[in-house]
Amino acid sequence: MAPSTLQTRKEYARRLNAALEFIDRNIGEEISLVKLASAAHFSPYHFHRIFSAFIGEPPAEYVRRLRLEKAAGLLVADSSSTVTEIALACGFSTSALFCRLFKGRFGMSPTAWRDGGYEKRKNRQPDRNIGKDKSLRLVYQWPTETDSRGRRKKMRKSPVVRVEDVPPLRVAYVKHMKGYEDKEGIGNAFQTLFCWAGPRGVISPDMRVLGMSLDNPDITPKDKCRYYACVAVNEMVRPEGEVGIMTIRGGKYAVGRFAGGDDIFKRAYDYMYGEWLPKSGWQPDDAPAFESYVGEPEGTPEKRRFVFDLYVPVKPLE
Amino acid sequence: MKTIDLKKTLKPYYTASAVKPVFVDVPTMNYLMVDGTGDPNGQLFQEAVGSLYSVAYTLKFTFKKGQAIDYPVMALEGLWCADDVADFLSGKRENWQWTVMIVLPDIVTKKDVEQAVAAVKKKAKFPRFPEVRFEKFAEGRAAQVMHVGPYSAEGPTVERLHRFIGEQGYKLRGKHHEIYLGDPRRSAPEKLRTIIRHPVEKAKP
Repeated sequence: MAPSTLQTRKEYARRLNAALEFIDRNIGEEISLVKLASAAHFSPYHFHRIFSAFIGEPPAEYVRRLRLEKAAGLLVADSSSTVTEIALACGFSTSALFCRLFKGRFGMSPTAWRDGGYEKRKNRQPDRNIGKDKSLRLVYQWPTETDSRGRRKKMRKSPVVRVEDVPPLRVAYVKHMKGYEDKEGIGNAFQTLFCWAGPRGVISPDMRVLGMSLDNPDITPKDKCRYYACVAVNEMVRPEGEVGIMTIRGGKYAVGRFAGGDDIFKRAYDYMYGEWLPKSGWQPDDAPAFESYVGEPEGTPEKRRFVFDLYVPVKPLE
Repeated sequence: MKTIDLKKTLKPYYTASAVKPVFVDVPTMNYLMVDGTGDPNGQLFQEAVGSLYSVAYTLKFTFKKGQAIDYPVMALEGLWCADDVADFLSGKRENWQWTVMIVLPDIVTKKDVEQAVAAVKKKAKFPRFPEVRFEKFAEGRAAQVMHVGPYSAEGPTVERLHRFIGEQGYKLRGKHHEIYLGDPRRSAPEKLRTIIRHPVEKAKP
């Protein structure tokens, strides 16, 4: 008997997750359509169409965009590597090809980007000044600080951001690939995740709910930034349909606790990357940051308030 | 999205003073329940709580998705008894009988619960699945007090509650009831907050 439409849809979603994971893992290597299709268990002939239909852009274009965006991030974050080294690390066969494509996408050479072009572009973003007049609300309190006197002392002289060793974390995820400002889309991703997780015994009051923002909205087009809604799971849980399973890198993370409304996320990232990191003696490591939510969002659906710990992967500044 | 703010509407029953016991008139409410016997640190108790939460969250998200109604999953509660009350004092945990439960908003029906239970049974890979049921529970007049500290140190708080009940001209009725507001996996034991409640009736003079 032919599988039902629902089963087919689920299987397609599962395979596309496999394709996207394959791209992320091999972004520095050559990724041919044939290899990609076989990672997703589709025939190369049909894969191109299926990928385009689900993801919204053809596979080659998607891979190229991700390579360029990763390189654009590294150019700014990793000043010790040359343009050629970064080009090769991001899967471009030659530095010349990279420079040409980079210019086509960002309208300037990689060197110009590195020498202030990125900063200039970032500051041109129209919505950057939203909430700027308000001071950033970091929460000067850690749950482990049980002694209230010690806590009060901490509030006066901060280190509010601390570096922690974090064990690898296995999570189930549902991805949302249409940007961080699409609140409804992100809400739907969590809805799908929780509807899947509920009957599978994954949810309890002590569950860990995470959000992983893979792209820098100052580099990636705003409506294409990838957000993964995640919940921690044990070793028994298997991927199913659009619910994928991944392991978040263990190791050193800079962790800061933030609280605020919808705009707190952007401000939290700006603070960690723009203010804390440059003064910290650490540099960002090549892995995505994630938000670990503390309790459910409070307030009304129109005006929500979030509390979360932002985990930024770091390595020592050499 | 419509929100049912159970935490607000049920506030009188889910808050208590650590200093002074009070009387509450607990309305008849619907609960998810699982029964069992034995040590609350044992496997069966953990499985009971696990299946209870699976059904509770399945229901929550079914309503959120299907009917755009959001409500919070309320605190875990437990009813405790033993054939011989002395087993509590002597710590014979294998004889402790318990019911773990979570209160539901009125919109959730018995049928909804049965469907959620079926979904969990089908999808969860539990080795065993303690039976979760829907039950109406009319607790009525009760006295309650907040216990702050580890579960193992509840003795004096319970005694204080019982003494209060006697002093007010009432006597114990029904089962000892606890509401676990703290999460033992997250909070330090000395900070755990638990409401200790016991239903009462007028003592005959």
